[in-house]
Amino acid sequence: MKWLKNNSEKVAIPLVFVALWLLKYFGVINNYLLQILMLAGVNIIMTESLNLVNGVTGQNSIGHAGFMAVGAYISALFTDIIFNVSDMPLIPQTALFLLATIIGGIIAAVFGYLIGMPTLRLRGDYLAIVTLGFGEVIRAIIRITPFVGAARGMMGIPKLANLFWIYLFVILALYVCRNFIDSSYGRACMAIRDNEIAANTLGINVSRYKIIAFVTSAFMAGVAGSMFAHTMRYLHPDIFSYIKSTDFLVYLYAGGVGSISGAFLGGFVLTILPEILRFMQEWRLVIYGALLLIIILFRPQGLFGGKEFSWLKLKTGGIHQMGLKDLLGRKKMIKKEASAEETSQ
Amino acid sequence: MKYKEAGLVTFLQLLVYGLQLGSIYALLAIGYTMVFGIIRMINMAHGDFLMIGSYAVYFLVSIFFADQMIGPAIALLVVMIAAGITGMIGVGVERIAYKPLRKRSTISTMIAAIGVSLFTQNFFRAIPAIGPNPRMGPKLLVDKLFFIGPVQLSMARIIVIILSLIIMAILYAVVMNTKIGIQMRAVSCDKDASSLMGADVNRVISTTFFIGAGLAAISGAFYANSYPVLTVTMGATLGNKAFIAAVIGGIGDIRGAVLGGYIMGVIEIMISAVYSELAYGFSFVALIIILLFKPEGLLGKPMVEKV
Amino acid sequence: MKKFITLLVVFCTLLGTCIGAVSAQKVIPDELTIGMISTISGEQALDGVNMTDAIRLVQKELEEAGGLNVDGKMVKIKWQIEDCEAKPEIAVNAAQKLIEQDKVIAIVGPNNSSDTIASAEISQSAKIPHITNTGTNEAVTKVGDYVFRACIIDPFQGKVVAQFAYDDLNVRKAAVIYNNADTYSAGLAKAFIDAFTHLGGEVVANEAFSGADVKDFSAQLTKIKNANPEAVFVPTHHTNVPLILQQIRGMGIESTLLGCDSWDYAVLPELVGLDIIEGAYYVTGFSPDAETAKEFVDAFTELAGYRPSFCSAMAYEAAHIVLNAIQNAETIDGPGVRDAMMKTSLDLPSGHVTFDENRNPIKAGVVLQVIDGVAQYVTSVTPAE
Repeated sequence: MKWLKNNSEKVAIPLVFVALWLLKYFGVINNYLLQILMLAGVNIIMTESLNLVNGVTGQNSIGHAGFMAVGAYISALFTDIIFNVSDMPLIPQTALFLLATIIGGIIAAVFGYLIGMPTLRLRGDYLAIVTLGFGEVIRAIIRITPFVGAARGMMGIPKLANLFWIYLFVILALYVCRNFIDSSYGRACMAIRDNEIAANTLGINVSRYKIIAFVTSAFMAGVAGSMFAHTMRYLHPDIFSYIKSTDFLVYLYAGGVGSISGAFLGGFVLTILPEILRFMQEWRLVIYGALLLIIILFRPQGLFGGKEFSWLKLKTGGIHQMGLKDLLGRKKMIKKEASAEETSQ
Repeated sequence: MKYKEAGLVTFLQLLVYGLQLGSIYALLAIGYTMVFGIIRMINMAHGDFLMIGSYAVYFLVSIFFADQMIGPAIALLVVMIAAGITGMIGVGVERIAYKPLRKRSTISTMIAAIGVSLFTQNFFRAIPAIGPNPRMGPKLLVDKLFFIGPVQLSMARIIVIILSLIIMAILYAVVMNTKIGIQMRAVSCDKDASSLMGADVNRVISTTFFIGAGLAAISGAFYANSYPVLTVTMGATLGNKAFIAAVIGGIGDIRGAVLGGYIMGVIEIMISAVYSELAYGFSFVALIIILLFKPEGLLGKPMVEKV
Repeated sequence: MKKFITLLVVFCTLLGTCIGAVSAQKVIPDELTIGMISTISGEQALDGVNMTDAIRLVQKELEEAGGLNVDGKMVKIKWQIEDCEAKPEIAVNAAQKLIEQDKVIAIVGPNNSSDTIASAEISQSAKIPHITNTGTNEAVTKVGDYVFRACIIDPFQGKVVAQFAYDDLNVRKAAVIYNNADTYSAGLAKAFIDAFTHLGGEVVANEAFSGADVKDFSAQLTKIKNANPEAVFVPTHHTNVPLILQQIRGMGIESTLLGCDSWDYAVLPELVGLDIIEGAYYVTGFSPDAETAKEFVDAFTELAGYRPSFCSAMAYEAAHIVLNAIQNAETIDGPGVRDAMMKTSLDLPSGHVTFDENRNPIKAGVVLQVIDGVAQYVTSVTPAE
């Protein structure tokens, strides 16, 4: 029992999957719900990946869909064009799919490094502009590349991603994020987020840690892209426009920035919300926009209140209370300390 | 020799087109830069003020001057009224959606602005008076083509450029010389200290939003005159470009925003002329290169961060 | 442990809400649901209105007849309309929802090729016939044997424009301006250029712009002006057409204007400016002046208050192709209706419609000319192979 208490996630994670699988098996989850759940999974990975940059390291990436596009196109190129995977038996098919996913992630990470290396050395919001630009440039290049379908889009990608793989990758993403935050890298990144100058004086190699976080994040975005490609089976450059990047930002901040669980729930709830609102017809996105505003105004720490799932067992104290409210609280504290110093002088 | 001349003529012509597009970006970028300068907020909904402004002009003209040719004086009046209405909407949006967030991080106000933008666009589309149909923008200025030597120029474009320059000059004078302008600069420098010095911070922020949204509306009117198709999503990409223009010029600096806007417009047109397929993407590349060499923007001063 | 249980409960509740909110409905044997996917919101919301009005007309006809007569039994037809925001992934969700939640017998729409390709993959694997109204890209019906279209295809349309320009207008030097971010636009441009050069004409300027949000075409048009073409072909979505045409004339380019089927909106001449679009030709698959179309055009105008566009006409035809197939199907399910659709032989507003082996309708291209703000029939063109 004690073991169960301490390792609840080792039981719970497979159990949730079995539950989902049974629901699917008995037809409670039909293909429509399955599709939404899978898209939600992809969005969760993306939101977690964005959280590493925006939430943990305190940098602003507002063009994350660009990395997703790289991962999606590279992996689809691999499974669809270089190897025609759809005619293969299951095992090599799966192996190639995983390989394609990893390669998609690696190429996205390479792009992340190329972008992050020059920009993250600078202080300020330059990453925002550069990532925004990157997303647009990638799109412009895909549009004129004939062998990935150019403006017509890439069609007939084999449907290799299923509930199992997406579930697995979501869980992996959660654990990667948790372990990252819980490591010395994560602590360094959080120190940078909290006060870059102070972190620098403490001997943290600021740009190195920023780049590590950014590259990891780009890798995850590439993996999410591969999942997206093999779920949707159709890629079009305009899917990955800045509107898509904005969506992920919205998921992250509505869910609770800086918190793994917040990012998870933001991605999950906000993917499902527009589908639930389908009966509203043309008022659908009006309500969506209004709800978003209400969340930001009245629930500043995000939907999930900046708390963490306890099974993630994050030992770093800060993250437990890491919502915007606390960002604010910290600033107040700094001010208080400053004023206290002044009065003592 | 002849080829060279033809090239020069085309270049001059493209330059005028670029400057005209740049004027619209510049007017829009000023709003971004002023709001950022004062409350450190990236107002992603700024492009929507442009949309509201051009619809305001559209409705004013179609209600009061239906089917009439309006003279330049009335046209200017209509633009000013539209700017006033949009300015008030801007102040209202700030009060309702941004003010409660003033003490929070830049990015969370940015998300609120995205919410405002999503809401405005879809709300406008859903209400019957506007709806999904594109509207034909009112022609405030009748265009005439004329030649200076071999260079073909358009009257409307030149007027847009000149008017924009005049408006920007007036604004610059206001910010540099009047009391409210001085307060604005003081607040952007240090909010708390200027509040202690007697500046009414709320009033200054409201004024900034009024001016920013008003300029966006003027830019919308010019835009609707040059590209007369109004849709509810017209402001989105323009807003993005203006934001980038503001950053290029050095965010927080009005002259920088103007310069950035013109650079953006000219680069976009010139690249389209050389290799149109990549124009949009490559104007970003050019901007990234500028930023790599001058991270604080062309006219921005390097920010010294205090601990 | 307590927290873990709470977590599980929260998760199950969430799951429950999303299942509960979209609970499956019971299929009554004497009622059938047909789905339509359209761009109700997003850049192309005008198409959404046009398609919805067409479906309203079909609905009205069915109500007046008391349902659809299938072998003497009046079947009630329900239309379920879903938004796709002009985004492929939303179109996929919409198709999934229609098939799984609403148990539709067939899907009509969406109105553009990218969305159709994405959503048709779903219909194909679920064996639900899918007929797009204006997804004109050649690749659309290559998705599979359940995917049909009601309109003419891009290569065909490009050929029609080229042949009309070359033979009827005696154009030898043409220019093209197109949107390379858009399947439809790029496909048409390519088809036109191939056909026109094949005929012996010369394309003196071929200019692209990227993205629907480009508003200034001065750079491209300067090059076109310098090339001095006799005609300019503008194969773009209706969202770009007004600005391009205004700027073409604004720059003093006096060439003949040629267009494609997405020009066919009743509001377009007014949006562009009547003096600017006057005399322009465009190709479409449906002429409102045709004798066969009269009844439909009158009924539609009465119901919607504007003349039907190509988009509405094709949505109307697609709906009727589906209804007719349901009447003739041997079994009323996806495969049955599909087989009946293949055998379609029906008189519709655009003329007699049958499908070829690639599930594209066999039709002639219709050339219309805008005179006094109204598109008038000029000629029908069937291009030589």
